[in-house]
Amino acid sequence: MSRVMDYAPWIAAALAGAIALWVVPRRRPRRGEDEGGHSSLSADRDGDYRLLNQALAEVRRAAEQQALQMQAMRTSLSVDIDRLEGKIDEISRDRSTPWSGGWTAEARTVPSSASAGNAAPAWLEEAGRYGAESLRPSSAEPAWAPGSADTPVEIRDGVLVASRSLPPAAYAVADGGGRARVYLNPDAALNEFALPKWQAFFDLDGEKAYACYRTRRPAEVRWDDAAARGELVSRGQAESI
Amino acid sequence: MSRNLLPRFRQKPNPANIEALPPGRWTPLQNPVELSKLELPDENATELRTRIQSIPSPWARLHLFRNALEDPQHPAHRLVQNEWLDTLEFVWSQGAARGAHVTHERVRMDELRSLARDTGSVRVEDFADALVELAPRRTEGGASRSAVPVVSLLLVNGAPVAASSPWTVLFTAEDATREETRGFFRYASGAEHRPLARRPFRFQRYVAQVLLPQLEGEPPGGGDEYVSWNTVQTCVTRWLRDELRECRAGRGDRVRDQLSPSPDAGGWRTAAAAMHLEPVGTFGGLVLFSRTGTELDESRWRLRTRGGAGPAPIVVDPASFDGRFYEGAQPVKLPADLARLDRGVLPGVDVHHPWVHPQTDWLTDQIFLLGEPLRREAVRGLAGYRVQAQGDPRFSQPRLALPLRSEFFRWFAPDEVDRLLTIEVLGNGSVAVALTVPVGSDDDPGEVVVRRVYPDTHVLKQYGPELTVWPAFAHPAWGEYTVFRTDREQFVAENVELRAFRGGQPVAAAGEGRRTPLVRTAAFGAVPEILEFRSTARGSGDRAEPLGVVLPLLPAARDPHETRWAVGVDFGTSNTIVSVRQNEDAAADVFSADGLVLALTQEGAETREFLAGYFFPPAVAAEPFGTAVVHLAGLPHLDLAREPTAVRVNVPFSGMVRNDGQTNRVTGDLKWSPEREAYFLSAAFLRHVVATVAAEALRAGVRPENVSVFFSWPRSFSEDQVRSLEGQWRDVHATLAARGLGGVTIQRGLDESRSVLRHFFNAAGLGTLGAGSVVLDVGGGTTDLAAYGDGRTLLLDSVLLGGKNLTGPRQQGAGRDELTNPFVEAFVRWAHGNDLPPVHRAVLDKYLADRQIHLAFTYLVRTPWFASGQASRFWATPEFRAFQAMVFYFFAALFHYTGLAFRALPPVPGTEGPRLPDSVTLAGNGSQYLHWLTNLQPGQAGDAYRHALSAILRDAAGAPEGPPIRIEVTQKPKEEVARGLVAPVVNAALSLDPVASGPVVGERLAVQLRNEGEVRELGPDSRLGMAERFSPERLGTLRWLDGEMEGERFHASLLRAAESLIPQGGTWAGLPDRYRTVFSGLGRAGLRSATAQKLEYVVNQSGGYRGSVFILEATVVLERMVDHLFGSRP
Repeated sequence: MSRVMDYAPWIAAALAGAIALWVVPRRRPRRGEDEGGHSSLSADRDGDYRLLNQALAEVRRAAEQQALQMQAMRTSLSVDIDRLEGKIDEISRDRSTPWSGGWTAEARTVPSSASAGNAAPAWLEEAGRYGAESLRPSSAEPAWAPGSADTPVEIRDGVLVASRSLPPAAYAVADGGGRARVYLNPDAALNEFALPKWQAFFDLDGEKAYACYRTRRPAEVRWDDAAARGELVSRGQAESI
Repeated sequence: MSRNLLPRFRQKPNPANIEALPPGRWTPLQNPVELSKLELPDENATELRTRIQSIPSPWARLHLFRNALEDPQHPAHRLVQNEWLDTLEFVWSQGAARGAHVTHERVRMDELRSLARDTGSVRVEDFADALVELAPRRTEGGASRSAVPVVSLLLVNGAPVAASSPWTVLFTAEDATREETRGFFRYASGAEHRPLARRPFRFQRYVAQVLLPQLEGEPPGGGDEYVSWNTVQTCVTRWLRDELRECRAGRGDRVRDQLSPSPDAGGWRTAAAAMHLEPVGTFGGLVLFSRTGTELDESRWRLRTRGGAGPAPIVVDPASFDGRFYEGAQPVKLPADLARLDRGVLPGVDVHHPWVHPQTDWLTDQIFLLGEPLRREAVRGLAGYRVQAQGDPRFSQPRLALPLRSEFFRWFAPDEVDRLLTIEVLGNGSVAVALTVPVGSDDDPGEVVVRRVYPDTHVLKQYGPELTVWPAFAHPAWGEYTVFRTDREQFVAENVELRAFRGGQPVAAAGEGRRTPLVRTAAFGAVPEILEFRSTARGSGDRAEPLGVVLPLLPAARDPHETRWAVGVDFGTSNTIVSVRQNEDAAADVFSADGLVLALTQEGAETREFLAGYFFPPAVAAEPFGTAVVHLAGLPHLDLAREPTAVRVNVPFSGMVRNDGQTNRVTGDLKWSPEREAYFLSAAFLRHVVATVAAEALRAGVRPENVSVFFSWPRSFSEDQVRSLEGQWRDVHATLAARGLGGVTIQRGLDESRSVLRHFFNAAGLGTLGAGSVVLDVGGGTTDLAAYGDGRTLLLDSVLLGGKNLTGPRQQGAGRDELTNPFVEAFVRWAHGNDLPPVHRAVLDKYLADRQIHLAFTYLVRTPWFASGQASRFWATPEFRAFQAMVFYFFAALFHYTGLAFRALPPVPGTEGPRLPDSVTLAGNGSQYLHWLTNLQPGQAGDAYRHALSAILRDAAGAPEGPPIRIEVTQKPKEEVARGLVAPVVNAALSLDPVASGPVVGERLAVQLRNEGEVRELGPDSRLGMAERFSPERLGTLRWLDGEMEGERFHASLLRAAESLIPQGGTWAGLPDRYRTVFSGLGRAGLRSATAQKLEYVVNQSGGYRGSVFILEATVVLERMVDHLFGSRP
């Protein structure tokens, strides 16, 4: 009995340790086990954020267009813009405190805890605005936008070929029967070397390097789907944005 | 004599005469009766850990250790084991590092009493008496002796914590538990049992390889310390063996090996040295050691790296961290704001030690995609790139900047990234990044896997640039690497900077240039092992946000060998060409190169144009290239030493230039302009060319000191001009030397006339006998004339008439409009209207916009459009016919001059008539104009045009009657000078002075040609001496002699020749009349006046003119002919 009593504290400690191990999982990285799981970092909030950004861009576009005609409406829209910007800032500020939950909580619930550190930088927002203002002005024709089935294309050695560049200079929209229409990507600026190449496929109004172009009339090409190559049938028309 | 007793400690109440003391402290009792006053507590076995039963001996603890280790059932068995191991680990782990001063002292017992007396304390003397009198005994040779004649003490800040024992090596003081010993000696007060297997691996290794071998070896001997070796074996050795067996259980082979003693008897000393242990002292026959470093050096979280300066940081990954920075350390709870804490102080404890938070310190916050996929063969780090589900074209090929910050590379080399980084594109478009961080030690390695998931919102929608590096290899001697960056988006071009690193340290840019809104270049003084993108939208410096890295993989140059390169550079007015002769090869090859640059990204639709236009083309063809540079219009300085290669100035090898507005300019005519900017650009051009060749030499394994560059110069260059050219080459060499290529030599070669002769001799293209073989090397600005006959050089001469007189701007243009060429403009206009592809139009537009008329023409006639015969329809145009008239006049003038030069030669020995050449070979790029006479088809030997030119030469030489002279055109224009510069042929005759050297005046006039001389009447065949020249101050003495001018004689001869061509029809039918119209419009007075003006212009431009007046007349007439034929002047 006395021997049992000798070890009582150890037994108690062992029990306590076992309980602790059960409750608080210990991580032993040297065994290289998978920490597993991914952050559920405010996915909805990110979605909201993106939507709000898009909404902001839309409102801006509308404001710029209307402002030329109706000063009063611009004032009203500007108020809306301010509200949206305020909302975005609010969300941004909220997102900018990724560690507020503490590491312990992070480690238990989000093993890949670093995901919680993702926060959209200010310049990303600026980049979006840049794109909205310079690459997609209000005058852009919304009649066509690249779809997932459209083929990004570029010109190499005078031949239209599939492109892997981002953003692609143009898209080919297959019409069937070995024909396709080609649209310039209104989000892609044509540099000084691309410009003369595309002049072979389009009449470019307001031609200038580093500008984006809106397609008024697509170029028509004979399109070999298997080889992903096209030959010009008729030139299209596009204007600088 | 009183005896000190070790009382049991008890709870209240205490006797009044005994003060309360903590365990382990002594209280002297004078009267044994007082013992009865002590109230002992009830027996409680658990208190064994906190109390020592009273034993009437100060050596009780020593005995306790022996008894407890001998008997596994002893209640203090585990306590003693912990104390024993704690002592060794405490010593090994450098107690001093914890703020404790650890010392080792030896005390001889026979000196103890006298030492005690010196203190003057009765109590001390009593204690010393007790120690000596109660000291354990041993029997030796039948006599009883002290078993502890000497005691080794381990003191911490002066207080003993352990002493040596003859039976158990050591024993500890009961009060060893104190602040300085921190986590050690705590078992008695409740700390958990720590067998050897739960102690640091390195300590286990120390016990296994250093201590146990000593215990298993021979008994210690020779010292004054007594050790009962058998008892030590029983108490300690056997037990430690069992402990180590436990340590090895379940471990891998490598670890097991490290926990096994060396079979070598003295191996423990070697092992101690290998473990960087320092001896502390001898205890109970054992040499104890301490490690070097601190506990944090043993931390399982310590970054395991071979790189980096300073101590390796502790890796704090909240998902992995177990709460202890090292074994035995106090547990730590990581603060919530971990990422913001000072990286110099461990979080949660006040200990200064570097640490990292890899998620935020080493991984970026965003994923940055590049416009083009990365080339796996040109970059590192993509081995772990995987796409879970295809579909998103952005990720089908790896195109992202590796989401690592440059800070990561303070500790890791780029070639480790393939092993450490995995990037997985998930089905939902997120990017999961896992970074494996090695931690622990090589003996006990571990890994922390840091994970970060980037949802689509954190994949930037702006795309990064294409990247290219020159040169395409790494070589220890090469000291400048230039990175060429082509952006697709202006926003990124303006807001994302590129920084280079090597060996974890930033490499400062030696120069940067922004060539266009989308093109940037930066030169670095070392191989850019790491290129980091940083967003500067929020600010530069520390405020810039890292976006990821690209890790260039530059292949090593070939191993150096002894091949020698002799490099010839024909730096022409319009075109330049380079030849290379290896070792003793019979002939040189025209320099060409492939794979000149290392593209890190795949080739985009316009990559080649960008490279060719603003950097280096991927390949240089074995052909001449324009003597021109494309450069930033606003150069920050004109200092070649400070200007890196291809940053702000580049050579458009392929002729590709583009009209980018006013940012860049094309500048040609580099060879002749004395202006400072032109001098700089000219030197920059030469440096660019030579650096290109030198890079290829090194890549091929040629040592810099085995590369010799030879340059030529036109024979018409004055000595000042040659010296100026030499100065430029010296500047070029200085900048090469500054970049580690001082071994390359650059030296004067030959003048172009001699070079051409040497080439033809080397190629067996000239007969060595006969009256004379002439080579006319028609260049852009000059034509070099060389003649060989009678077994020696007859003539070496150079005239200021070249291709630019046909297709360049007017030489003495009064205004901007006159810096054009009406024919070239007409030709370009026609090409624009006749299917010239837009890509070529854009190039021509740039040349014309920058007034590089001759280069525009050269580019146009080299386009595939021209080669495909598209230009044949141009033949029918009036412009083409008019140009043919000019071309014929041009060659007629050269042949007339050649005739005059021959007229001035002595006759062939044994004959009386004038000397005539047997053949004339037209070389140089300008020779190809002859094909314009035959509608761009090669003419035939003996065709009407050659007959006509032959007749003109004979007329001028004074032998109009006779067989036609053979006229040939080289098949490889422009290569002759460069090849001749390094041709191996040794012909002594070529190095002799020619029979005649220098120009013939070619006109009848009187003028003072020397400072001291008088006005001299000159005839057409008068040859100018070395010291004779037209100079500004003597130009007033010029007087035309009465009678027919030589120019008029030439025109008469030309008209006769032209009339012989009337049967050819087309252009030729009306040619004589066209000429007559021009000549008559000019008249004798007009010709003299215009020639005098031209002479004055040339003399003033270059400070003097040592050349032919006849040639100036010819250029005047050509200009007038352009005006007449193309209508730019009435």
